[in-house]
Amino acid sequence: MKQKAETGGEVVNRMQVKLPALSVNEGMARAMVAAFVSQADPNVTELADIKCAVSEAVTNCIVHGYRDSTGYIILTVSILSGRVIKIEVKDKGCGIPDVKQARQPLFTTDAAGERSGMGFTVMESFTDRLRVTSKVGKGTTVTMYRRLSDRGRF
Amino acid sequence: MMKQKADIVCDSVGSTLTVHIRGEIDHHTAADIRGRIDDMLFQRRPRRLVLNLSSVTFMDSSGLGLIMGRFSVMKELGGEMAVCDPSPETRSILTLAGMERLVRVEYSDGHIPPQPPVTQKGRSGGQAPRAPYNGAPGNPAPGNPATGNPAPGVRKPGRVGSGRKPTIRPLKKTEPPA
Repeated sequence: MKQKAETGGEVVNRMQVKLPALSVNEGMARAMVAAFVSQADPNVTELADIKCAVSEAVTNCIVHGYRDSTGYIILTVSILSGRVIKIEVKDKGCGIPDVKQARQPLFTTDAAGERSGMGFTVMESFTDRLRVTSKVGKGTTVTMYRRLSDRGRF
Repeated sequence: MMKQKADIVCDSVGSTLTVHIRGEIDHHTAADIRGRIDDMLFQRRPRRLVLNLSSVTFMDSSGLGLIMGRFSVMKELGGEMAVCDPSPETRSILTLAGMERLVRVEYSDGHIPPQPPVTQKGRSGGQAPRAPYNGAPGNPAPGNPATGNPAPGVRKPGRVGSGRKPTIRPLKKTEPPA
């Protein structure tokens, strides 16, 4: 059966967590994703890349999405056949008016907070595919796909 | 009190302040690390700040912000900074951001890191390929340590060379390291 290499096939396993948008949960989120993804037997680099991408996405929700409000982040991680990891990070925060601009390297709306403006660039570089959908006032969903090298079971 | 996942140890030798960061650097821990480093900087006024990243087990773009922010602070204080012994976990993101173009990356064992690829698929967009520092404006580089000349645009006017001497307070030996 032919599969799309980037987006994988059917779901082998899935986890979903709902976390309040607290900065202490950034470490929590990436630790949980790392623990879940470990069953697909990623190599050290792949695991480090996934952790970093998750950290960026969750931090974005906290720093930008919920900058003037509080709420929850819904993190959904799926292992798809074809050894593809799909990560979806969703918030119901303020949304991004111009996604294209936000994805530019070094672009930040929070220079005072010493943000580097590299969040989306890091996510893009450390995953195979990044999709950002956002609606002002409704929230943002970031979806990332990362294919693991061939060595495990899935 | 929530457990902090990062800790710093400061070591001041002469006019160099070495800050050894341990643990994970993310948005949550960076704020605390930043505050503590800046306290040390304004207290001790080192000429040179070295961030030792050898014990950092995780770093995301908040760490890049931390380094870039300390670079600006040191620039304002008329000093220079370097990153020392980045751990394997931090190297890929430092390279991705082209951090070597902004700050010096040193290895205590004399290891010279391989040059990062000239073009990164072009999709990290807007990042010009690495070019050696040639004094051209827009190519950031710290001052030339050999001649003591500041790089163009790096230091504020009136802060050059020995002119800043009166602002330096002598190191207090009695101060316990934080």
